[in-house]
Amino acid sequence: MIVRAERLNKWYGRVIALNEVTLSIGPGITGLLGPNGAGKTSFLRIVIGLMRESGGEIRVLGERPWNNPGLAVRIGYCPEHDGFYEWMTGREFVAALARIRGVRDGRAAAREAIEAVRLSEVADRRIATYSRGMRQRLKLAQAVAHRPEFLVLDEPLTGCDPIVRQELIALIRGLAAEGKSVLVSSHVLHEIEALTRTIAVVHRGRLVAEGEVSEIRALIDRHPHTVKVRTDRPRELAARLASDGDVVEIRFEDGAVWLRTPRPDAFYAKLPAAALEAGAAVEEISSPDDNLEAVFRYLTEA
Amino acid sequence: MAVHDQSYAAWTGAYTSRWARIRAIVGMELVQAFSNLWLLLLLILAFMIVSGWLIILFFAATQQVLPPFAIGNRLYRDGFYNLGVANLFFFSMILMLLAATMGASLIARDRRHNALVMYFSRAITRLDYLAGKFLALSAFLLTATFGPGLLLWLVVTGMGPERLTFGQRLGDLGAIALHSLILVLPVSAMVLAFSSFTRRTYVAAILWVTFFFASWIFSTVLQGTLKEDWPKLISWMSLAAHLGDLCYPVRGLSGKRVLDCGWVEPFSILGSVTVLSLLLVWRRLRSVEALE
Repeated sequence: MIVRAERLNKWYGRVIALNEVTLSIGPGITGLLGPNGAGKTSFLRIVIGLMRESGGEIRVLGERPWNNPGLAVRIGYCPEHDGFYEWMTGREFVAALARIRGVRDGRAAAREAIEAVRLSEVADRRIATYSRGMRQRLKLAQAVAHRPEFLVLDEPLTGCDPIVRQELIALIRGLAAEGKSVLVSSHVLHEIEALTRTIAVVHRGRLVAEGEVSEIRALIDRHPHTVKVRTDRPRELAARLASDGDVVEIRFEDGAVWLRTPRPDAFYAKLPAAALEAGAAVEEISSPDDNLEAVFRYLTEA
Repeated sequence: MAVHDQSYAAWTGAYTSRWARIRAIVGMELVQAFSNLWLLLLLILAFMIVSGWLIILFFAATQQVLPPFAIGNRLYRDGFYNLGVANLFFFSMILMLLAATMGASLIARDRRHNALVMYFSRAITRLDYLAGKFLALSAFLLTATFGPGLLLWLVVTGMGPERLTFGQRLGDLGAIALHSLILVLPVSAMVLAFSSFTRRTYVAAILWVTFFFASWIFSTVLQGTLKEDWPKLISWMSLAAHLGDLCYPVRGLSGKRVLDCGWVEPFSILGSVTVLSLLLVWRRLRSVEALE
């Protein structure tokens, strides 16, 4: 087992983030699914030894993660939020972090990692000039620079456009194909589904389900799926998507178009073509938790 | 269908030592500091004082009778590190500005950029991180204190008119190093503590500068009001200058001490402040979620 958690608890003062979570994660890619505030990040941070558990037990690669530098060198972590020194170049940043991680030749490790995430062309530019997709790649590069056995990725696809999303998914799957075990979190089932069949679902600090993604998918599909698309031509894009009959509701808010679809698979498959036809530059696709909330409620009540 | 190898093999490669990882943090911070123009200008200012002394010493050496400051080791004490007027010591001021510019950003900036997660998800402990930041700031400040002091010592050793034994010269060098450390270490610890309080570098810098001048103003006002000497112990500058002064073996004219006491009280105060500041930072770093 890569991760074995037994009745794991985490409190922040009087707020409980993880509640008696018992979970085993094996080799390969595992998805950790849950809405914002479900306890995903807390769980991941305990796994990598960034935080100490309040109760219960956890073993990662057979060792306790808290205050264990020997284990930390075997894990790569890609945090949800950017944590860059914006004035550095991408190459300098990855090399510096690799050296801090204990790699002797930081520059060589950085070169290898940057090539692996296909960021070589912009590696000598300042991070401040990077797009969202480049930043996500850079975070992946710093996570793999020291060749870890186990990768922990916290919402790696959040805020990426469809093309970058596809590239990152291919990248993560490629890393897994090299033999790395990957634990990836998301609040969007569609993202997790593109990466793996094995998932664990957390909600309000509790593990509510684990197993095959298809079982969760069946539940999800009973509830309309809400998707927010930020683009320069929201009305044109909405018109294209509405014509196919996969969209049951459209509204425009905050400069974005919000769509509800009962058939998310078909919707996501048609989205790139519709954007092309409408001449719309898609800046961001995100899915709020409304639809998942219903499933989580169902799972919790069950 | 492609079947990928999903088994994992235990890592067998070698990683660098813990010290090398701390050194990586120090190196990263020093590169950053030495590329800051304002910090470089302040460093040059420190070296300009030495250059001024060297010119004065050059002309003094041509005189038949040497002036008092050119004899013994008063040159380092009164003439260099403790140079100042009205209990305002020039070197302490340079250090204060350097520390405010570089030190205030060290932890505040990492908090602002969410970089603590990047550090602590690596094979370094909170203690390693603290050691890295503390050593980086101390090393940089030493380039402004020990660097010019060493230059002055080298020139005086090479061209000075005084006949000294090797042991005496080595003693002076040791005193210079110790004086530099006394000036630098408490400042580094205190500024890191201020830096850990906030995400905004300028707030940390303002807190430190306010503390520095408040200690001097209170000390001066209390001395004038109470007509006593003990308020000098409140002044950060006086404490560091007095302890530094005590590092030098008395040779030539002894000169007036900054404080009328031994080393115990000033050392206890500065030592306690240093240890407490570092403990405070360490305690804050223990909980990443609290800092975020």
